[in-house]
Amino acid sequence: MQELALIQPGRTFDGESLREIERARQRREFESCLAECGPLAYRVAHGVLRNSADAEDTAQEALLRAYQKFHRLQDLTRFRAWLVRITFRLALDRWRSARRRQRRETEWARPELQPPLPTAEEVAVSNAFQARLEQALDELPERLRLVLVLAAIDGYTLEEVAGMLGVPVGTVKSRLFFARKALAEKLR
Amino acid sequence: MNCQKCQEKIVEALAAGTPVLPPEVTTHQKACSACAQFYEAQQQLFGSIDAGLRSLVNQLVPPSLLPLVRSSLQAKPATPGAWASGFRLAAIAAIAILAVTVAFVLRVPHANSPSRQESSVATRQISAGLPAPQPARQSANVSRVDRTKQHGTSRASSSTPKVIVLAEERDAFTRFVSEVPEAGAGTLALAQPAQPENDAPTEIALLRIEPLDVKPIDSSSRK
Repeated sequence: MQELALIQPGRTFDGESLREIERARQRREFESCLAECGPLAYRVAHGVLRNSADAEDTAQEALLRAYQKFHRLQDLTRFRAWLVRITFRLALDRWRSARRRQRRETEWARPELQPPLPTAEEVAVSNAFQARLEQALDELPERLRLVLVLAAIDGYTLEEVAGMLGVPVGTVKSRLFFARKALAEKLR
Repeated sequence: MNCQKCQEKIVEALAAGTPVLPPEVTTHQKACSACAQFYEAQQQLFGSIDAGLRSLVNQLVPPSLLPLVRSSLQAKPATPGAWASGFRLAAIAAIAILAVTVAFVLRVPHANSPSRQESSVATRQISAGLPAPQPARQSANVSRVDRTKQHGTSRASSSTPKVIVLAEERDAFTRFVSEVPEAGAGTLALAQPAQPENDAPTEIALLRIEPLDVKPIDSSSRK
């Protein structure tokens, strides 16, 4: 796309003007990517964190980081893959720190102050399978977990997932196979 | 095909997402009700996994996400900002400090090195055709006198060494050089120790060493 800039008559382009034009161009490019890839970042984060507020924070942080490093990205078609990696890393970091905090609090809390365990009926009412699935998902290796999350997002084919991960389609299929098999074994 | 093999094939087919089972599995399943039940159960399990994953991931994106990001973009530049220029300044300062330190370290030992102090004495020795004496503190006075009188010309590098002598010492030095033996049978010695703060010329005298009579040690005297 051709870039047009309005300048006053008699005004020449100095270094600062050129930098401003470059910044404006990058901003426009990033905004066009943002509309397309913002929801993807949120869904990847939600797939790891399973919490709307945390997922939103993580997606926002990932998008801002991507914007700050946007000038380093040489190939714009790699933006989606790049953003997915940033988001997944950030989400994993947040998930790990939350798990550590939860473990610490559980160890320090006195058992008599803990809420009573849910009854069988309550477990049945709540989606027990979903809870087990999420736990099983947490126990999977990172690369298998990411491919499961990406493949489950609506609207992306296996070829697109392979493009995001920078691996061949055969590798995506093989990872999906092992991930689903491992999940089934844990849930059986 | 036995049941164990059949069930393994069923799990693999479902995990791979293959819609059609291998023909030998279908044949076994028709004859074995246990494997048919297993297939039903596994199909349900994988269906639940897929549905659970889809519901987990395909959440509605909060409408506040993109406006929040856009408003944050106003504050943060895409190109390296103030932190980068600060980092550049710090790097330049570090390089400058390093350069000064290296220059100081290289200069200090050179200024105190004995080779510099003995340079003027060595110059005299070359012209006199004698072996150079040990660098001594006394020679510092001579070199200092020469340097102060000639305004640093003695430092100039030259392929042929020159002797710079004070005008009033010229005759004495000529006489001294003419008396120096050719074959190095003697050596030079400073007649009096010079004080570091004294700029007076140092007196140099010729030291003669008599030939030594070397005898073997008598073996009987050792006993």
